[in-house]
Amino acid sequence: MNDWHFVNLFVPTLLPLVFLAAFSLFDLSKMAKLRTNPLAAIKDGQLSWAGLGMCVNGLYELHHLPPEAVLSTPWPTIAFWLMIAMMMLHAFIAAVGPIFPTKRVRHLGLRKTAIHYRVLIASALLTLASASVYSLIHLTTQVWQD
Amino acid sequence: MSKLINKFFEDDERARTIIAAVGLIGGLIVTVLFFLSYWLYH
Repeated sequence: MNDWHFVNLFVPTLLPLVFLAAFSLFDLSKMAKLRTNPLAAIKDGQLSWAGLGMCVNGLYELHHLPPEAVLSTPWPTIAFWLMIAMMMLHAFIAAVGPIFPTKRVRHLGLRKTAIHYRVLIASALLTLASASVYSLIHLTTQVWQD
Repeated sequence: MSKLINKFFEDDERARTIIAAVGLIGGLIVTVLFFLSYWLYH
């Protein structure tokens, strides 16, 4: 973990949630206060938008190799198509998730809460997977430019 | 095709389950294949 991870993975994913949480400090109407809960912003799979961005960055880095980079031939092509597949999954969750919104509930116990917020969990895990794949692509292709 | 999609997404609970399952299973397959290809070919 270094500053690259912080700037490229954590900031784009978490900064909007920090702003939302910050808005709850203001004296807003009751309805607006309810909407400032960060859970409301991600419960329908919206984290996948951040994951989609990571996949796009990964594709960009795969196609803009520094001249010194020497990669064995099949891997960049395989990685390219797997990133496209990952992007399709993110796009599916980000687009279709909000069509069937998850109702907010009080804590039901860990297992039941996790099952209730399953779209959120799926988008969060998929975003984590994209972050790890994007890190690997960056470390493999661009690391000498840091 | 339209009937099939209507059947799968007719009720919200089932639709959310399908969305989460597609994301989780697809993501798992893609991630495993990615690291496997890295290990095999890089």
